[in-house]
Amino acid sequence: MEARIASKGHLCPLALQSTPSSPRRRSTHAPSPRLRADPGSSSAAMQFFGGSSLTSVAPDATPAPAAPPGTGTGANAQVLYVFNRNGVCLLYREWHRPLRTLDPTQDHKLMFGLLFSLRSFTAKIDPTTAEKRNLGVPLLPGQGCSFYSFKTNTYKLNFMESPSGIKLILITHPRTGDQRDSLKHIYNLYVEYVVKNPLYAPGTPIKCELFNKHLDQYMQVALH
Amino acid sequence: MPPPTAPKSGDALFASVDRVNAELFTLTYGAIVRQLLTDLEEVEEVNKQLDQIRDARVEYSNGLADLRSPKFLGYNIGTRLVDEFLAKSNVSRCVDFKETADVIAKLGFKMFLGVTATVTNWDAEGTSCSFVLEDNPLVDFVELPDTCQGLQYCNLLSGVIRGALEMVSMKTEVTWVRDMLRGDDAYEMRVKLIKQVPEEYPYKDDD
Amino acid sequence: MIGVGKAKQYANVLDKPLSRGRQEVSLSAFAFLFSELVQFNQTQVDNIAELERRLEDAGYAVGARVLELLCHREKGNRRETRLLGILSFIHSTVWKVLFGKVADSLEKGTEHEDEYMISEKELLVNRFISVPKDMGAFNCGAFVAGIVKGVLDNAGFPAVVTAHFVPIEGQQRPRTTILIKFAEEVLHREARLG
Repeated sequence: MEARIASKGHLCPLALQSTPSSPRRRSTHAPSPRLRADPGSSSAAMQFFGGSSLTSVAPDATPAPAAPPGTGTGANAQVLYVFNRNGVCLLYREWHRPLRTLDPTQDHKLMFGLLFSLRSFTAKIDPTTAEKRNLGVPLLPGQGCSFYSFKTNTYKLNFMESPSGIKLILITHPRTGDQRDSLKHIYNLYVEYVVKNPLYAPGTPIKCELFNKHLDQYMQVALH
Repeated sequence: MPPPTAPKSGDALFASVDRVNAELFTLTYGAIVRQLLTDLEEVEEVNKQLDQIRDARVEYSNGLADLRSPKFLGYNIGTRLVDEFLAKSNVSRCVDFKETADVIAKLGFKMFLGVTATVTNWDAEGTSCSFVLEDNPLVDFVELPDTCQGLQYCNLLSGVIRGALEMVSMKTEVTWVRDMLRGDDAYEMRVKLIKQVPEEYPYKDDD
Repeated sequence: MIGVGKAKQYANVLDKPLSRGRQEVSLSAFAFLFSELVQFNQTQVDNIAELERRLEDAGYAVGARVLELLCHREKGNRRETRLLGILSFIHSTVWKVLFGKVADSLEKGTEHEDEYMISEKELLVNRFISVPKDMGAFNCGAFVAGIVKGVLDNAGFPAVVTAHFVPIEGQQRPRTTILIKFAEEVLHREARLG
């Protein structure tokens, strides 16, 4: 059973970067996350990056695309995704996003695929555990190691997954610190104002005014 | 590996959450059960008039009726409540069934109902066990009338457990073994792990 | 055989000592149960008015039992016979038992003699709610209105009871007002009693 390499079909976005023959061409439009294995080079890049554009961008709150697509200005992106265990994007909310290059459905799907793959890869190459599954074979929640952020030169992706498969993704400026507490707080807001809302039908997009209000308030304080 | 923040104890957990009078909970549950019974009776009347009594009833009892039974309500509650539990308890992984059963008994019941359950009667494979409850806030003021002797009043609880476990990838079967409303000496639920279902990549290759 | 001998059995629920009402469950256990009451009833109705009516029905059953329970426990089997007495019994005793606090206010309607209002800034059943636009003025407080009606009816004060959102100046969230409109006979009786 395990040999039925789920990876071929399941490891969508990351896997297909290395298989040009894949029919899923559109993913090449995705901003390819450059995972930095070496913390040294990462921080060097951060400094370079920070000096060049951070100050000029930070106070600018308008979402106008200032730079040509693809150059990555490193603007202060602030975007939140919430997925449930079935890959349904329950919430997409942006407070600041310099560019939109993909249609929303594609964007959500790629994001979910990225996390799904990344989780599988990080568990597979974990040098501290012996117990490993074949790459792409789905993991149980809480199984294997878990990652909680990665950085590129233009953004940082912060990630939290509950054992019930709720995935929270917060995209921030690459220089923001550890966001695990923020994500936990957002999870609590989700529980309070979405899950306990008697008029919310589970598995449907979140349209709870009370949740959005608290979320906006929190984000204003948390990331400024 | 221990999780970064250790899970709270059952008592600490119950003390940390907002609470309400158990009677509001119990009486509301009673009102729900009463509403379900009324609705079902009405439907049977309709069935009689349509003169398809037997078939319609069988279909009803196999399909729709299940949707309206307290068990189904419980299942829905379980699928929601699991997130509340995870958010407040600091439990960060539920991979092992035995460990999970313990967590439910010591923390889960306590956090929501203020009571603890005992986990007992494990089978040799470690895939089924019993939860025994001595105190059950659902049943205060309840006595099953003669017409409802077939009613599994506490099915809400078994549904909750089934629903919550399904959200952490454990497919289970939950059945009542002992029920004080039927004259037994305690409340005992048998929970059997059918399989653990990992999260699948939800999209098809070509979407 | 865990549990044997600890939980005492009673042949009849009436033999069981009536609980003193000090036990608690978590608010979220109630919130989830209530959510399910709402969601289940949503599948049974075509419109908002019907949904409110069904929530009111469920509340009524709770109210009727709460009255019995409290008259027995708190009032030595005596019951309020006067209008203001029963209103203040609901506003304070019933509220305190069910919601852990006395209601924010009890007022007499200014336009109609037969109307009274119990208001709550954040009614327990509305604490986590966001009402979608397409549900208009739907108020889960219908359940609480049902409880109030259940108490009043069974105490001999028939009334029409409804729940409404009332905006408060300077606040984003409206409060909920439970509007009680007594039946004519109640007012006549009150007038007779002087």
